Amino acid sequence: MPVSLNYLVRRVGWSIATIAGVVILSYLVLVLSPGDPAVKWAGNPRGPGAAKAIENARKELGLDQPLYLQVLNFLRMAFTGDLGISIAYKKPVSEILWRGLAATLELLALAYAIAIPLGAFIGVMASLRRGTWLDGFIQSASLVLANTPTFWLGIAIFMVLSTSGVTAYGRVDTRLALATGFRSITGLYLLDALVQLNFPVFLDVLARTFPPALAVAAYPVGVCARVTRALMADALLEGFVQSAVAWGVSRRAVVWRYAFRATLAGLVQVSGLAFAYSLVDAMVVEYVFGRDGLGRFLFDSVNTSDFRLATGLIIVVALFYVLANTLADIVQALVDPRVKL
Amino acid sequence: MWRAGSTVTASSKPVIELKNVTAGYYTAEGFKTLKKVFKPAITKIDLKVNDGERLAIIGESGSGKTTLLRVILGLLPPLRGDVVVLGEQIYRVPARLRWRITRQIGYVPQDPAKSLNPRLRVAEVMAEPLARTDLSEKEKAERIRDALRIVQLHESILDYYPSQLSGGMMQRVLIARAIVHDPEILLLDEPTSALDVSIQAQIINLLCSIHEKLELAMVTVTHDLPVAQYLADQAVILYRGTIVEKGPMEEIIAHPRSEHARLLVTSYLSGLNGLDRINRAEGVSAGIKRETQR
Amino acid sequence: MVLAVKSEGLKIGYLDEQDNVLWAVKGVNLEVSEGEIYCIVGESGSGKSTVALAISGILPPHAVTEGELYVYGNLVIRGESRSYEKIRGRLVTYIPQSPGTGLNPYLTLGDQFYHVLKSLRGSTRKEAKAEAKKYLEMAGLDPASTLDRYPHELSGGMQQRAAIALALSTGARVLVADEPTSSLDAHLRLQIANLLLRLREEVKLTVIFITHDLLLASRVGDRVAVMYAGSLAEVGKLREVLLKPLHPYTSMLVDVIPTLGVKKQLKCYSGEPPRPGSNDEGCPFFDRCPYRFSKCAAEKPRLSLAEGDRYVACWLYGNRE
Repeated sequence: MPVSLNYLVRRVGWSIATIAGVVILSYLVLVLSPGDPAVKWAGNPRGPGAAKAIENARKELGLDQPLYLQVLNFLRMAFTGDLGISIAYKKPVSEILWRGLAATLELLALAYAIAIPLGAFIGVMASLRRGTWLDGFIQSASLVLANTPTFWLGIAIFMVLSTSGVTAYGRVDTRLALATGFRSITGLYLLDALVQLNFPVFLDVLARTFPPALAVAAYPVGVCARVTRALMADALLEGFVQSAVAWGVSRRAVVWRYAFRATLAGLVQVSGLAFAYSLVDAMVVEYVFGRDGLGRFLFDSVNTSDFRLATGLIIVVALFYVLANTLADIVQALVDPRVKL
Repeated sequence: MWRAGSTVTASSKPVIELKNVTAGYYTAEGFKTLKKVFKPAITKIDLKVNDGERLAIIGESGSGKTTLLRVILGLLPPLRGDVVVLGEQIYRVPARLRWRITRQIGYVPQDPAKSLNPRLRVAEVMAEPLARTDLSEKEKAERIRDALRIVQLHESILDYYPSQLSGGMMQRVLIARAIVHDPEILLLDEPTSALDVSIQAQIINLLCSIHEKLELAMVTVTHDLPVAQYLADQAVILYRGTIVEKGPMEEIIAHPRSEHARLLVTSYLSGLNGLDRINRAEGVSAGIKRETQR
Repeated sequence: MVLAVKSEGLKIGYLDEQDNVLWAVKGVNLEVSEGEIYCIVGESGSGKSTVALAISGILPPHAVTEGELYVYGNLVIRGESRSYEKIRGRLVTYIPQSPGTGLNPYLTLGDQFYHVLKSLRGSTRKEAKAEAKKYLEMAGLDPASTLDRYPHELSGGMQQRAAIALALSTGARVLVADEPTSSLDAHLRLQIANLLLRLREEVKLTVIFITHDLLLASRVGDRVAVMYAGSLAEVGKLREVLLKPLHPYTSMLVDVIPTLGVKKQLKCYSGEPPRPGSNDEGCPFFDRCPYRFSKCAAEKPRLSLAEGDRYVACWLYGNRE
């Protein structure tokens, strides 16, 4: 086992510390930023009773306590999963966030399931045909893909689809879901539909997730293609690849088992970073496609000054980054027998 | 230059002295991450280099020669033992003042191509060791010129970047840099292992002449026994962190006592004894002359 | 005598960024007989490694070739075209510089044997394992403790033995060893050299041994080709060449080698080997040669028979055709 208990314990410790730092910071930003949250909580009251209402709100929010107690209290709440009640939705923030996170994760997962194999394949092809027109084309195409603004791509795809009569709005056809008795268990609709063997809903969800996933996948496809091409160019010159060629190992094995294998570790690392980066892209595209994901909630929380939801979102995003990086490290250790964590 | 059994006339005052030195590295091990385990790379090393002496520290990979080098250069405090350079216990001196002593060691690093900063001209490289001296600019320039003359490089080289130099020239620049501030000790780390044999011979002869001219102590760290034979009169053989043999170079080559030294010597003996015989007699090029005059 | 490898006027160069060709090998005629250990000795930039890459079929795509190269009568290089499909692993096999650069760090040794044998003979995993055991034992390794290991779990000497075992498992008869011992400790260097000698007897190998180490070559080689600046300077029986070098460059090489237990002043030859792409007129060793005369600067000497079966490229020897 390349991942030791020692590493996991250390990593979890660091993750907790990072999240605690983010929680503290997000709380401080909230409290110290201009505009009194208590005023917002009390609903911007005016007139004679205003001072009292604000005072009550302050007490209710615990803002009358010393700052360090407030922070500790908030930390305790955050780590028990209790992030308070959302102002806009009147529901526990944690519940809303979980629903949003599931939707966003589903979108991201599909996008990356397309992007990494596709990008890697394109990159390998380019590296094998270095200096040809195909290489040039792939190079410039991946540069364009990696730098296209995702929100623009999302809007473009959405408009093309809607003008051609394809509905790709929302996560699932509600009527179809009701008719077939689909129930959400985990919040990941693809998984839920599969577990319930509800194939009509599965296909519907897939058809609706695919277009936004394409928009999100553009960036990682471009990045993976470029990184793979560069890493492959080096890997093909490695002594062990050259030796394999000289020993008569078949071209396919040399390319995939020897050279591509050597690029995997780097590819995983870059994909991990890109994955965390794509979260923001996914949130924007979700909004365009009317999906109830984190992006939608972020937008709503800003619009309604729902600071509870906003801090919750920040914490979730931080957690997401930490997890993505840890996962990338672990996958790297699984891929390279020399790496011991 | 090669002198049979040469004993250097300088007084035998030790310039480097290691007493019972154990040094190594800490590694985090086991579940308790805070507990560091000490892994010694060299254990109980006793070593003495006298003024004007030529010593070779010979060891193969993993013998601890790099660790020993770092200890002498003041870069790695030993776990136990005393390190005395020019009469001072260097690890009793605060780290930020240690350079005042260790700069008396002119150090030539391994692999010239990797040791030179590609963004610095030769002139800047050469000026580095003189930076913290109270010499005037004119004196500094004079020193640099002298050093270049000793390593047989033309002054025009000062304007060059390392990438414009050949391997042999880079090594000469590094040697010049090591002696430009007139140190008392010259410390060479594998001085010829990155060079071709013909360049290796040039550098070996150069180093021998420098030792004669500047009358400094010369310590060579190497894995290459035949090269060490030319660069040193005294030798210690390191094996797995301990000194397994020490004594005059020729004595070790002729009668190695420890098992490892024996292995080392036999692996360098050539299969062609005749080749050695001819070399010993007159050098081969004389043979060509005879051949062509015929 | 069957010729294993033969080249005629072989020139190999590399394209630089401006599409100029830098010639690394400038017209080499090699004749390697079956069953001999043929050393190619030279300093860095002599072109010896490029020759090794050309014979073993791993020249980079941007390499340019001229002339002809035959392996057991098969035309491998003819002018610009190169075809290695029948050669790689089937007639010629290769060991790279040590330690272990030739081994795939991501696969166990067993898997690496499997990929080689599957590609060459369509072996199954079971067959490959049996073959691997045979060749690991031949290279002096214990199959039980190495077959399931990754390369980084082996020591430097063991890695090189494993690479040799893999190279042999192809069944090819010509082994190109490109400085196989240069980064090993002295006693390991000797062990590997002795292993090659033993294998030559056991498997009837033809070995092309590329090295800069004349003393090591003297231990293993039958014949030697001394290369300088992309050309052959001298070719002959190793013993004779080392004991009585004819070419001034060969004698310089012998002069400058520090020999253990021999007290002699090292001869100092000034200058350094020419850089690739430098002036091609005249003898490449002209700048450093103590015996040069006017003809040397004007005309490049061709490799020609000097005496017995000694070939020398030097005007001192009349350069008879």
